Amino acid sequence: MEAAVFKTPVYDSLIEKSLLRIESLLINNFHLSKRAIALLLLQGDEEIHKIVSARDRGNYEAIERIIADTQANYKEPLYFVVNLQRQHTASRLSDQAISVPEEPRPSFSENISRLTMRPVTGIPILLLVLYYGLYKFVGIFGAGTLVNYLETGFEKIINPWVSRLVESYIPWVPVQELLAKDYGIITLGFRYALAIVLPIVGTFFIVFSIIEDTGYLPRMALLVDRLFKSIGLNGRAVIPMTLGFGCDTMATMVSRTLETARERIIATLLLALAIPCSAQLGIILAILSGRPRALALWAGFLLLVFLLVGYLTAKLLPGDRPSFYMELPPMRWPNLKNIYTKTYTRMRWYFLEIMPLFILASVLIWLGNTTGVFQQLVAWLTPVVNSLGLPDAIAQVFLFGFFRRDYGAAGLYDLYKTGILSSTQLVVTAATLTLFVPCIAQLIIMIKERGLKTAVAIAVFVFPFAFISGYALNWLISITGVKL
Amino acid sequence: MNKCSFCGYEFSDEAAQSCAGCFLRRFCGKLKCPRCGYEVFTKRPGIIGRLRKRKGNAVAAEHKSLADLHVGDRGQISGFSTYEPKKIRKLMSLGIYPGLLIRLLQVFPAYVFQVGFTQFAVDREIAQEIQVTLTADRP
Repeated sequence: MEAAVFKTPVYDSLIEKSLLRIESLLINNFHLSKRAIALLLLQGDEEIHKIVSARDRGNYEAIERIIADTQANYKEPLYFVVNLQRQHTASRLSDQAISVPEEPRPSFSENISRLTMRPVTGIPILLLVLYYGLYKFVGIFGAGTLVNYLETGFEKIINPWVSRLVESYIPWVPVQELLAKDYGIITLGFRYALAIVLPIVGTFFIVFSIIEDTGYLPRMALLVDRLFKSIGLNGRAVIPMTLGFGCDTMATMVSRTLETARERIIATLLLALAIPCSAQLGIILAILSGRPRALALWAGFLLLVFLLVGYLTAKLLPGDRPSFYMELPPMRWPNLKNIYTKTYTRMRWYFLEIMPLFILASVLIWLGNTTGVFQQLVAWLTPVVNSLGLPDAIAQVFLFGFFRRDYGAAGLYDLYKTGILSSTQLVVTAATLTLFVPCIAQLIIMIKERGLKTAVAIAVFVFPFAFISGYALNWLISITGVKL
Repeated sequence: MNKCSFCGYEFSDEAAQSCAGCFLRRFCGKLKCPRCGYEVFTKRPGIIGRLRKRKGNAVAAEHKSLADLHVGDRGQISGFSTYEPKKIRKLMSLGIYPGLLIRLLQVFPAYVFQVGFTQFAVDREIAQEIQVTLTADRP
């Protein structure tokens, strides 16, 4: 019985005949069945055409003639005919096996799905998801409670212990500083990675996995599609953009799923510029959450930059308008096992990728400090920072921020705890730091994914833009006299 | 294809070269005829015009694009308005092809429709490519 089903011709006799004739003309081995190659040739697949014209040069003309002859029998292009016939065969087969029930009443999940898609209810739901998912869970719980707990532990127990150990066993001061003291691999690198970044990124990935597993992401995409069209992207880009709130490096990698090179460049630029990663986000939320107005100003300013830069890039970059199409999977309860697997894989990836870089950053900072290069760089940065109305210490935060965005943010958190910054200064620093450099890992990924030229162009744009925006923001706050 | 309403010349969007460098081209709704230089109205009309068009369409032909349908309308996909492989391949790979029954569920902010057991969301540009023959009127 099975064999009989398989032997049913999928296409009409004309196409089947042409396929056989093309198959007989193919000589070389293509690691695919000849029928598959013949089908792709008929459908006008450019890549296969190129390969075959190179390998079976002698027969290629004959093959082309067969394709043209076949095409002459149909009004529509062959790829359309072939696809249509295949689909019809598929549905003929499935009709034999499936009986379709009368249209049932919309189920509970269907009703929920409708609610998430209608703008009237969908936008409030979107805002609620962002508020509870990002702000409450990642910002307050992850970056507040968890970080506090872990960091205190680190500073009270591990750091003094490591410092004592290093001081009593290693006689050379530079090596002591490399491992412990203020900027040591263990006292700074491990502390930032384990106690500050890990809980924030972890909580973000949990939220993202839940949203992903319920099937909410495509609904989010369709809600924001119109907004994203105005910045040259389509709704689909909501996935890399939301992921960017977790880790911009990972999001830059994911942006390769976007369809056109134009969209990929715009997404990469916006990720580098205006999307704060979870480490920054968590810390900035923690710092500014006591000052709702400052927080609103920071968020509003970034949103403005995001839309403005996106809009201008979309205007300036040549290319077609993006199109949006997406399947909407049914909504369902998130599956615990899926969430665990997704979160675990992302955390593992992040950790394997981040730890060496944190250590590298510690080493570079140590090198920079012992050789005096950093003092010089900080000295150069200081007037720039001062012109934004910020104290000298911030120069160091910006500089470290280059080695890792989150590293800089974590440094800002240290500074915030000493209480020397005013609300205005906090907002300006937070905004500049968010806009400022993609961290070193993101820069590397940008070069890898978009090519050196594009990556450098983006970096060259982002650097001065961040400082100019910071300057503008500081100036705006001071002339309007807004109390934060 | 655009047809000049003054001299009757037919030209594609790309052929209207004097419009290519203009930053207003997306909004002004006009194209300059490359032969006679007359500015032809081409783009879709404004909100009022569109509403009027919709109302007019309710009594117009049976064949409509998905973009002209109302929420709740059902029909059969009769074809695509273009054979541009880039666009149609996407739709066919999703399992959207002529002959299937379709039901429009939502039009804003994106077009949501059901084909078979699956729901899809597309933007206006793609919705306009899908031609539908209405089967039953809404109650």
